[in-house]
Amino acid sequence: MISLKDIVRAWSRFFFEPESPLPIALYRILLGLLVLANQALLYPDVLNWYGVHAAVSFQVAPDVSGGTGFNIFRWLPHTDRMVWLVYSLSCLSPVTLMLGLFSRVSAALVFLTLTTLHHRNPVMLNSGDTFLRIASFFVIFSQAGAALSIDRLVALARGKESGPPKPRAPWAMRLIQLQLAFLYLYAFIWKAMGPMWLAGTAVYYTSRLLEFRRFPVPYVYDHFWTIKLWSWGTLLVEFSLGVLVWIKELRYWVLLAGVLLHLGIDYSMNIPLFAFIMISAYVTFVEPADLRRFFSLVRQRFNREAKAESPMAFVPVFYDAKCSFCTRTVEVLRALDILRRLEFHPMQSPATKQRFPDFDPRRGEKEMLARSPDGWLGGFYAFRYMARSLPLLWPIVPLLYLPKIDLAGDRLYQRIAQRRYCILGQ
Amino acid sequence: MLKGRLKSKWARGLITVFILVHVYIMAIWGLPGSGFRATLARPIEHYVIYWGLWHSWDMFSPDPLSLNFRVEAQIIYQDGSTRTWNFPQMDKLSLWDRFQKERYRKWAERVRQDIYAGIWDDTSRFIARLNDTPTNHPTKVILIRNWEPIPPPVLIPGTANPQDFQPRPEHYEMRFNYRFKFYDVQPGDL
Repeated sequence: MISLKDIVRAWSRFFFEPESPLPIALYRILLGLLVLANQALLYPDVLNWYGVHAAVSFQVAPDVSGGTGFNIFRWLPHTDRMVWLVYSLSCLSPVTLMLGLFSRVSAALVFLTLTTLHHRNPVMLNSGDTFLRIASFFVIFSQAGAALSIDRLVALARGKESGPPKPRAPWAMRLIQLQLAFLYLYAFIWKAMGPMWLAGTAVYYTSRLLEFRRFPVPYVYDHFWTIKLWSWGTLLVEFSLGVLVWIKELRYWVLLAGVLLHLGIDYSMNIPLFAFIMISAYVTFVEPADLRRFFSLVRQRFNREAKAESPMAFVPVFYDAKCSFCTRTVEVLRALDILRRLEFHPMQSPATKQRFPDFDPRRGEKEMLARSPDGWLGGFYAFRYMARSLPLLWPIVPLLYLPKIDLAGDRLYQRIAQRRYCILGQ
Repeated sequence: MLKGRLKSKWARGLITVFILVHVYIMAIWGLPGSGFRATLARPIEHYVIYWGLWHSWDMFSPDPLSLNFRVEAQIIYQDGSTRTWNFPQMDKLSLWDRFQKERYRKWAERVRQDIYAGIWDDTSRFIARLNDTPTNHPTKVILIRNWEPIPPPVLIPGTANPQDFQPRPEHYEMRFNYRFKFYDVQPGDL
């Protein structure tokens, strides 16, 4: 027997017990990437699908989607220029979503622009589009910006956060998980109503649809036992992804089966991006500890190659632990240091003086220092050296080596360093 | 302190209502069509449709299509000449074009079906515009569907294998066709 209290407690634990935001943050990045790819594929045909003279008129479109839905063009003039504007926004917002810049606003813009375009022309949509739209809706309410994001770097720089991302109520991510599970459960139920799926011949027919063919699949599509295996296997995997995925011990096996099913379909059938849209959402089912373990393994693999003289070397960094501005800067650098290449040493610590006897505390009071194989670097030059070890900063590293940038950068650094106690105090 | 606790209680209550509504939507909207589903979906219908939360997860079901089809349009011009325009045919495109133009397949798949008759006029107008020339304008667009059923798998006698039926585009003819829409092009359409 289960009591109502138990149900309420289980509900509360499921939706509200704080959890690391890492899985949803990772999904935010993947979602942005997939929306961007999806939108990029539309680029050559934007006006054919959404323009004033598109394949479906503005007036007829609501009949296809079942009624009048949210559509920015209802308030803006529906001109081709405006179509390009909304389309551009639908490409820009996934970029800011990926970066985690104003994550909530970016997710809202992704959702609103997708919904507008989908309502403008629902005739050419597939299930992948639908899932992207609904997932982006739930991401708006999630803590997707609390990790792996520029938003987090800003929070660290402002001192609103410190250390690793704090656990938060995962209810919005749970809704994405539930949506995914319902998707598979209903895909199973719909198929279970079809005689071909029950007889195991469904894949025979799908494999012979000319319009879907991608790469040849010899043997499998020409033998009854393999066709039946694939047909019934599809039913089994879809049922599992809807139901068994909730059982902890089975979860990863079920997800693996889902990945294999989708990759198999993607190889043999031309359904662009659908497999990746589905697989990317599996990350919400991965335990944060397992994700961290995975990142750690990848990091170890990278770092094994690192040598002192290479740009991938470990870099000892020395900072003023009494200065709030400096400690926050260190927090930001720590968050950027995904390969854990920077070793931070507070200059006031006796261990620092012991380990680095040539460390000059008077210079350390004036600027942040980094130690390279060629000697000590300070201020802008230290930052530039550190940037080489931070993959997230690699895009700006070439700019830091442009002529005269070092002079301007160093002057700016020194001005900030002189005023660092005034900025945020000690 | 008390104010904060009350605020968080209210917030949690609101979130719980939000969760309940959306789980209900997920559970009801995806159900196969029935009177039961229609009754349960009615209270949330406006919200779901307006905010684009509508969905259907009936990929290749209840049964996959058991025929290959092509949709084409015959365009009749002012001077009486005719031209055939084909919807992009995936099996005749390069790998990349197939990837990029897949949405044309989806569009054709819907144009083919009678339940999408509402978009036939728009489709005809769009095709008329695509095929317009400065000196010779289209006067009529005829939408045609061609199809060929996929033969059911028949066992090769004495074996457990289905007959090796892999239609290749170069040897594949669609024997059946039907002109399902005749549209008279109006001057304002072009």
